[in-house]
Amino acid sequence: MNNLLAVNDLHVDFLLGDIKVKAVNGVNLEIKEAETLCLIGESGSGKSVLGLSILKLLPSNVDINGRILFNNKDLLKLPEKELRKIRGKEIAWVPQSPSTSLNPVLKVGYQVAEPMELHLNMDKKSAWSKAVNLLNFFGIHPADKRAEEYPHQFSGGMRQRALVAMGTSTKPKLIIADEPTKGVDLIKKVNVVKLFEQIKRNNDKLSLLLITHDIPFAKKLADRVGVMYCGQVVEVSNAETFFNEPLHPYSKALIRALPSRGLKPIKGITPSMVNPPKGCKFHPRCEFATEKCRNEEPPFIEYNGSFVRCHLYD
Amino acid sequence: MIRGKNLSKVFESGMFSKRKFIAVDNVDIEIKEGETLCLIGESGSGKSTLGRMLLNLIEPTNGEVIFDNYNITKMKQTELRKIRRYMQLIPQYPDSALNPRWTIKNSILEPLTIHKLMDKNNRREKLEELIETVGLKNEHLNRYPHELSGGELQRAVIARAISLKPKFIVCDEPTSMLDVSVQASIINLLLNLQKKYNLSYLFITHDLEIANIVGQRFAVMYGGQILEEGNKIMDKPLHPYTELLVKSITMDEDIENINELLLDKTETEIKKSNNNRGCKYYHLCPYHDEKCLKGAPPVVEVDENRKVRCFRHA
Repeated sequence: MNNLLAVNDLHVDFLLGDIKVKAVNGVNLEIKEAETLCLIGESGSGKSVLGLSILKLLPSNVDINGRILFNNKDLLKLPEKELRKIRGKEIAWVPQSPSTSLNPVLKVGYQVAEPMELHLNMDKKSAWSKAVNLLNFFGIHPADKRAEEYPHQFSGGMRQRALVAMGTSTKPKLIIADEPTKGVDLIKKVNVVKLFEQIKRNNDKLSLLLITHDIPFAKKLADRVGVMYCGQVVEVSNAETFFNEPLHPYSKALIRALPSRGLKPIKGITPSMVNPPKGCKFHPRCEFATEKCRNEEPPFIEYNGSFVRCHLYD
Repeated sequence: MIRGKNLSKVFESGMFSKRKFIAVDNVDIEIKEGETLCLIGESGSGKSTLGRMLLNLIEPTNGEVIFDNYNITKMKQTELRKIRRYMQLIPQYPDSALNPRWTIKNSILEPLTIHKLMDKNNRREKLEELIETVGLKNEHLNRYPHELSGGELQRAVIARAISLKPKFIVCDEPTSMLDVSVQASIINLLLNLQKKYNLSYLFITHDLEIANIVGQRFAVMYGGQILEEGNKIMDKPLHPYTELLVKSITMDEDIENINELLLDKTETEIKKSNNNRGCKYYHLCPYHDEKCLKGAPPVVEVDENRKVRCFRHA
């Protein structure tokens, strides 16, 4: 299958006065057509920044280097005008907090219709009726009345469905969803899973990049899993491999920290992004760390069909 | 240790036509010494309100709380303050629980200052003992809340809560905002503290796997009522709602139908059935019949340790 998106050696640096924070540090990642890739990592590991940099939606004090190939076009080299045709049309972004991401003074129907007016050149009326159809599809009933309402009249789950409706309205090739289950209850989480399964059923070529730290949620949806630690992707494996026999020591520790797998905390603390450790970023917390890990940064290599950044597999 | 009898809380809004919202509806609850009662429920089920009523942080509309043979609902403020030190709260959002302009040291020591339990000589000693127990370091003490990570903040909040040697702590979703690995270490810390000081916990959570690890007894809350209570309710759920919750741990396919039910119901419909005289769970229950709408279901004592509010077990 073809790669829809390929991130090559991506570096994202935040410039804060004299300090340079490497939020994303040499990331390689590929997403194939029709694939669901879950990007797992703790807060502060750079996963949201990676997602945002694909859309080039980062603030101006940021230095992005590397290549982001989408359909063989380098997004980082495209002029803003070209990028706007891709953003929201071919790559959709479903933001983290549904409560703050909708415009409070515009009708929900208008907000769902807007991308279609912009990208598909639809007129107001047909975009509106399409928006009503979409809301209906995502279970917001009665859709024609609900479309006339404002975000504050929606519950949290409905707002999220409205955002997903907005994201899928232009039939994008890739949807990036940032923490779709954050602060969502157990039962409603099942609904989020169903929601994404529904989108995929509706469009079988669609690729999903789900950024999350909810491992059971990832397990339900992922074809492949990428693990981020301290600005680097340390492992990319098939879902089956990752949940049964993860390669990287950090992935192993993450799985063991799950309540159902023993609730064992990972020893040590998350390193600061301003002063990351030398060598392998995980070595101060790793049970297998050797002298080599302390001094030499491990390369990102292929191992039995997975990719891993660890000296154990050199 | 602590007992709530017929506790109710009705929130009223509006100046002339009063709209009523019943947050907690006639709940009996009891927690014994050294025991953890897990209160499970979705957001909006009234579990936080119940927890805060036990601490008398929210005044109950009806009913009384008895703590250690004192009726604290009828107590005078001055007397209540003397008892307050034995009951503490660990809130859900550690970042808003600490004063952003105070150093961590001042926040941890505030309760000791208020209750005049330290002087200049033993201040250092007390502080060191506290931070050692919760696993913070000296360097954290002079920092401000924004300089700490979520896990460190939660440790500081815990240090403050245990500084007065309480007997009873309400933990209101203490780990829902934390990463998996940090969650594991905070849960372990809370369990160790319980052993060390023989604490009673009311552990409020919507995560059943966590509940299973920390709790000896469980109470499942829905629509302001406790639907099921007892030990081992996870192994053999009696109430249809508990059944749904247990299934949602594994994100089971069986619950698909119920989810479609959920999607079809608008908020107002759910509110309406919440206000009927019958079972609060009627609109979602797969086994419902006419009987369930006519009157409130009875609380059935299945055996010594199990209570369930459902017609099916009557």
